Amino acid sequence: MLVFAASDKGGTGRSVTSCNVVYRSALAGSNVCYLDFDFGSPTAGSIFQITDAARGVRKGGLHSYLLDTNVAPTGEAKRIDVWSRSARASLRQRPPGSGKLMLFPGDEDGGEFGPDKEALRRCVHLFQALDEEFDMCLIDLSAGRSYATQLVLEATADPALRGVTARWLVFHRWTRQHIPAAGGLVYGPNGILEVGVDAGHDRERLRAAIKFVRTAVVDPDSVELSGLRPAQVAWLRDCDEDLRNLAATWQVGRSAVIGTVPLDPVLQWREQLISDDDVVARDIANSSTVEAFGELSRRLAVDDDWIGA
Amino acid sequence: MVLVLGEVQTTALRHSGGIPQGFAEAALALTAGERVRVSERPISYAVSPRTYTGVDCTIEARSGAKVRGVGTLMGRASLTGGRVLQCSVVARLEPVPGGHRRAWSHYLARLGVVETLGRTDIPGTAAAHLSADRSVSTMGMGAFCGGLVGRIQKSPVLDQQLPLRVRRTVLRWAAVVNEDAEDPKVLFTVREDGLREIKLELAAPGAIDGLLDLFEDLALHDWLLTALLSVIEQSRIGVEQPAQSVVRLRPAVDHLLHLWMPAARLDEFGQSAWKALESRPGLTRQWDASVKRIRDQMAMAAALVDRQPERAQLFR
Amino acid sequence: MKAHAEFFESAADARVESVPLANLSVELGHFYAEDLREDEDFFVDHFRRIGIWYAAARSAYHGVTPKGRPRISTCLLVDDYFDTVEPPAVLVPKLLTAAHKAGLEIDYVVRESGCADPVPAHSDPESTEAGLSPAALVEARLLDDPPPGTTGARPPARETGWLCNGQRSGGSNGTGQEAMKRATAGWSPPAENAAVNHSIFADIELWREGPDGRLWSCAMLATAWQLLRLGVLRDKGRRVASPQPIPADLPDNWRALPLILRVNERAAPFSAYRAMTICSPKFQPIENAVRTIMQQVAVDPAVLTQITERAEGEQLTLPSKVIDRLEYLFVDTGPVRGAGPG
Repeated sequence: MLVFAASDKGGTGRSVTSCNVVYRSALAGSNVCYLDFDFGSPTAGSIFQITDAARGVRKGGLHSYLLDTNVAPTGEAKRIDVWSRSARASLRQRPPGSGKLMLFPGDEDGGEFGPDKEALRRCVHLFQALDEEFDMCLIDLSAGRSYATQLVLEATADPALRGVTARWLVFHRWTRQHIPAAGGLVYGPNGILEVGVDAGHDRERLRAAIKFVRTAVVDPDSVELSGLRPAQVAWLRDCDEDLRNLAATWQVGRSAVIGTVPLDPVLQWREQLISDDDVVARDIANSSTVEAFGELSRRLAVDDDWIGA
Repeated sequence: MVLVLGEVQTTALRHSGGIPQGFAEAALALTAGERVRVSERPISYAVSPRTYTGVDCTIEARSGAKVRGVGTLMGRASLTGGRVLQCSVVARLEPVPGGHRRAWSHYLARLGVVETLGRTDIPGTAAAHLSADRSVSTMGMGAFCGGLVGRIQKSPVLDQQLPLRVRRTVLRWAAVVNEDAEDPKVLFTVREDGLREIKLELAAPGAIDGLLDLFEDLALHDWLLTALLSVIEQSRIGVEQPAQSVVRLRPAVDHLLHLWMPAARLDEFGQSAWKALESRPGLTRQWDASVKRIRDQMAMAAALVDRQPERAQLFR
Repeated sequence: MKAHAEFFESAADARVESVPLANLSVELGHFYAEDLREDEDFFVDHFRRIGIWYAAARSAYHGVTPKGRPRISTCLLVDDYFDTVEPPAVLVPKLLTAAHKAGLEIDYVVRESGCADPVPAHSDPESTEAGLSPAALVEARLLDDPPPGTTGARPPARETGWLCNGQRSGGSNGTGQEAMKRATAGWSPPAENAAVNHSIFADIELWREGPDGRLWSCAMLATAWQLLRLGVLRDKGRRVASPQPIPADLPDNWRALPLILRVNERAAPFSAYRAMTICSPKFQPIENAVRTIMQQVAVDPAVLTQITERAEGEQLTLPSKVIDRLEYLFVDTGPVRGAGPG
């Protein structure tokens, strides 16, 4: 299965949530990989705490795998085994029964680029080969209407990938600015659907394969907010109601949502993987955050959750 | 001294079961107007016609010395047991004096040969080819090979259902033909990342098909073992209930166990090379032990089958 | 060379059928479709002029054939693909009589459309199994001449239906332009791969999709024609189109005829170790295109080995490159009137 992580705006927590989702899937026993297609600013290395690939690798990352016009006879894209290479001690002890967790980093000096037939050919080969090996490949795309997004839409329309399930997660914060932006990215002009149909996708099937993830959501009823004054809570409730109406207008309402990640200080201040240890022993992260990641990773694999739009 | 370089990539065919011979022929028809050769004994086997691609690029020896190579890479694909797909690429390196590239028709009259224009460090080129990791390959041989895999895997006759998920393995090989060499010497090294290397030294070159058959057969059995070990690892023997583990072991029984047939189609030279490899690294020994482990698990699960909870898990 | 053959090809390769071979095949001129409507006198004049050079070619081959008389066959290609021409029942006798009056004998007449039509897979006329057309067989064996910097990772950029001998001008090969990086401005010239100092770049149209399906170019059909004459095409190892005797009643439709028509019972084999074309210099651009394509046709090595070994058996030396087995005489063949499709 291929999972594409997209967002219209930066700062939605797309990358950090995606990293945590693949981490949860690996813990549950699936073989998973994470592909950093955020060519302008690869960050997955830092989230997984891979010391020498924090901002991508110097040579042979995904950007050069797809685009190297140099004669350098490229072979396969570079990969990093997170279980053995993470600087984080708790990650380096791979739990028994867990699956592979592999990072395909970007390049330090990568950049966005325009349409390229050769890049498309290589992208198709990459997805095909990784699908042979992994239960889930999560591809983290640059924010906005990027060429990376167009490239993967064209790649997944290629006959070579016709038997491969592809699902989309569109991340947005739960705010008045982010909701229309996310709706626009999917349904708007030059959005995912329009570009996808041009690339050869069936509109309805593609639409059914796109779900939204709300991030940094404040739950007025949560225990964390129990100290608020009644007027504040009432105001929050009004805002929430208002946002829900807005979401419905933009077709990013409840039926199109696959996950909700609560606001968590750990994610706000430092983008990192949240281990069970962070919740239980160190008590710095909220258990609801970890539960949200786990739930998202489970629902990604539940076919019934992806029927109908 | 003559140097022949090659690579074999091995993977599971994107099809839910063994495919019938007619489908195999359709999937492997890489060149129109060329035959796919098939045989049924001792194991079903089909091999594509040869296909070629032109190169004109730098070849680097381990010392960093560079030479320009012009010519063609030869590729072919084969399918064993209707399940395991292998693609091979090979090129014979031949140093020629003078630094000029010749008319393209010259290279087409010697398909599968890459001429190196100028002084060539043959042992160093072999070493560079063998020691490279999976992200680079001499003359882009790996990418060409991977391209063939991709082309066959997308064939419309395949149902695109993978029987099991295993990483493609890459076997890089170098055969140095040295008239002064005595008995053929073969060295097999298992590297991490599903990468294998074989260095072969021999006095007289046999037919290229014999060499390809040998390396593909080795790669096939190495892949079978790798896949089997991976299935065993994922079955979580000891972590899960026996019945649950047996369910996870099923792909091995369905798709792998019956394919082990070392050197079945090889000529005398190939068989002697296999024999040499059986003492070290001893692929068959490890295979037998792994198969026994699977059978033991199944026997245990069968013994427990009368107990209701396990039974429910096994037959759900 | 010998060692190489042994290494890459087992000597007795039973995969490929062999073809009877003459020493030399001579093509007795080219015609534009319009010219084919001319009267007999036009053709007598044409064949007289060709005959002078044909005699020269014959005597040249007498000198270099070690054993006895060289086997030489003659042939003509009729362009019935791009234009309607007179029906076989009219045109064939006209050509044969004119050649005879000029002192020449035509051995084989071949219809150009036959190079584009699927050839029955067996020489057995009962068989219905369709094979590929000679043009499609050539296309399947095209192996692009790689520009410097080509590896197995980045195959030569192909433009659908076109084949060139180098690199096209200015970034037309679809290379990605990175955002936020300056585009390299200006025009970059095309370059011939095996240029000697300066380039002679050729870009050849192989085919085009039309309303009635694929329309092969004249150059592509002529390449198939030359390769048929050299006996190097095979379809799944089987020979393509063996010559058929001329039927007693010639049909009205060229496509009802077999690809290769044997009009002289005592003719030497159609295919030959070498092929020579005698024609007007006006056809030189076409032959240039043919040679550009033929430079990039990878003939089955098993076929090459087979032919080389047979030549050796006759104590003949053959050039290892197929293209070097083609010779041309560009001579004045009289007034060529038409300016048909090229």
